[in-house]
Amino acid sequence: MARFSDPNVPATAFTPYLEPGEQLRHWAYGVKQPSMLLILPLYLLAILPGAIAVALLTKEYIVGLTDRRFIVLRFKGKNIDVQEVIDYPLNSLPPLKASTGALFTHIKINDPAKPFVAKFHRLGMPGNREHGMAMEAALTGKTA
Amino acid sequence: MNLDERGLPTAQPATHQAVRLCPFCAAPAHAKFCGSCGRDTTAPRRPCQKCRRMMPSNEPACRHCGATYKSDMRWKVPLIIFLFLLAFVVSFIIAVVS
Repeated sequence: MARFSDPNVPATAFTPYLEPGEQLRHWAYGVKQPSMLLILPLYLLAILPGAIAVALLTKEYIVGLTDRRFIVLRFKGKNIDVQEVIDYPLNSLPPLKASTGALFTHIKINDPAKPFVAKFHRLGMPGNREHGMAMEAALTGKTA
Repeated sequence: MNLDERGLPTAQPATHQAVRLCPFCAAPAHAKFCGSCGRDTTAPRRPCQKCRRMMPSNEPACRHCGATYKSDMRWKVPLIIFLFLLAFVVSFIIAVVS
């Protein structure tokens, strides 16, 4: 069920993208699915191809919170083949929304130049929920 | 470390600021735009599919090796269309046979 059984695997993926002296504090695995306005017609047309289409169109992310930045890595594959890197300095964070429900932690960053939205399932990797909630608390200023 | 009202690190004075490196040319970057290569050091970036060096996501070709970026959608969208057509053909054949 979990995308990563070892939480250190996604953590090591951040190593090439950290600046000298930068410390990774929290990290989590999340996904961004296509819009429900697309998912529903796909499933209504045909269930199995619809499910395959949704899986193909779903983007996978690992996000990391360091002492300086919030880093987003879009990747594919089990070996974390990084496709794109987005970072947001913590001292000039754009407006964002973050919340935690029963299953998911949602993080949405409303930056017109580099928008980001993803949801982090509690079973994404061991500790995903704790890391997600810690990042939510750090980004929004809530107490964890 | 100075923290703001949200508990996040605030901008440090220049003398205490950690060394930032340009993600594209690895030169020390003290401002948003790199003094060496001139690119926005905070822009979204991706590794070149050929030489694996970082390039801004909005640049269509790598400055180092000249390779053009090819989106995964180039094969995903045709595959999705093919799967739906296949499903309709199979369901049509099943309906005719039965």
